[in-house]
Amino acid sequence: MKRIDCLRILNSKLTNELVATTLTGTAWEWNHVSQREGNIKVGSMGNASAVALGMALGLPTRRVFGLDSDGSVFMDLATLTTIGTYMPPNLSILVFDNERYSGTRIDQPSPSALGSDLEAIALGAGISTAKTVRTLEEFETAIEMDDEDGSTYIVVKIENEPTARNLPKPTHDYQEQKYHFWRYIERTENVEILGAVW
Amino acid sequence: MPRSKRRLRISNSGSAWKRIIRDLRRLTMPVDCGEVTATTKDFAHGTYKAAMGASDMTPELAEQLVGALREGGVDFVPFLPESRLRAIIPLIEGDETFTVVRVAHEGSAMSIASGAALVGRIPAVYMEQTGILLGLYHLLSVPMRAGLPLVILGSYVGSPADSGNNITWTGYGKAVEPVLKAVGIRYQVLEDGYRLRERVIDMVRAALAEKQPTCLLLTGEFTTKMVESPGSEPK
Repeated sequence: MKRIDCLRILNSKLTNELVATTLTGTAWEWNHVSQREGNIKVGSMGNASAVALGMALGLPTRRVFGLDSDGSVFMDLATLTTIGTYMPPNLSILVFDNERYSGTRIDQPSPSALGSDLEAIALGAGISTAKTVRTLEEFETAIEMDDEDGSTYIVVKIENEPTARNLPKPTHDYQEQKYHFWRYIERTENVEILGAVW
Repeated sequence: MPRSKRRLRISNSGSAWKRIIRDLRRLTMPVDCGEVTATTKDFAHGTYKAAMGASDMTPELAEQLVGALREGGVDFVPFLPESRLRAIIPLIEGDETFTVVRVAHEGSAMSIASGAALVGRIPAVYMEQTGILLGLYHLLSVPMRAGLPLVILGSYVGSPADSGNNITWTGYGKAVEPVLKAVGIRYQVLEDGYRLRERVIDMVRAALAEKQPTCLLLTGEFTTKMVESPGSEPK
């Protein structure tokens, strides 16, 4: 299963959801398949799930997706316990697990390839909904899970393949996308974030 | 007698072992310091002072600090408990103004707060200042890079005038201000409750105006130098 096929399915199902992405492959592929105003690229390892959790707790009326990766989650396992503590029902974390550290120029095994099980770790951290999917059919069903049980946490096993490396990279920087995102939140939630400049 | 024989005789000496064991017991005897259990070894290293100082924050000072955060507009508080300012925990958890998030790692607090700022909340993170060092990567890679407001409330353990000779914290205390300067985080050290309300609100305002993290470091003196009348001159 390729990550970009999963992302196309996810994008086809979204309306006004907010989506926070980690860096490199996941971010580039999501940028390629989705140009929605509710997208925000966190762009660093060990942060996307926590940022998505903060968005979900800070704005409980909107569904928030966090698109993370195995290496990134392994770097910030503590956040799993906080998700497990609060389990906000409007939060869905999708961890694309290719069992590799696969940035622009490297291809090295992650702990997933060396015996660590992200689903088991998430379950142990109190995320009772954690599950692993291995096919597009399973993925499509999983992202439509009933959220009555709290946050959705899906480990998505994907191929280690180079699609992302051949895609154009995003051209907007973190400041620019933040202002666009804030204006989108202001407009859709009828709130003032930036206020008067003077 | 050969030297090796002499060493053997000493190490097998019953009285020598008894003396060593007695000394070790003395070193690790638990001592109740309120909510903190220290050992006699900790006393020698200054932990006793810190443990006792931790209970000194008055309810008035805690209320003033939390009130100033609320008045400044803060409404989202991820935190990792620490001992010195712990009197504010029931206040923030009991106040519906704040969405309170208990975290397991200070880096999580920085990133969770950043997510809240992205959806329009005004976050303050509360932690021991060692957590600022621990969360530095997260600060640099999310709120500082994207430009997000965030107020850091750190208990300044190991500050120069505050258990500065304590082996546990002095290294962190020496590092935190140079680190904050190096990465360009505006900060203030609060050593008393003088104009606390204004100083807290000013740092919230600065975070919002600059769209960057700001930091308040609260020393041990801060928790013990509560002014009798909030807002008046320090003693």
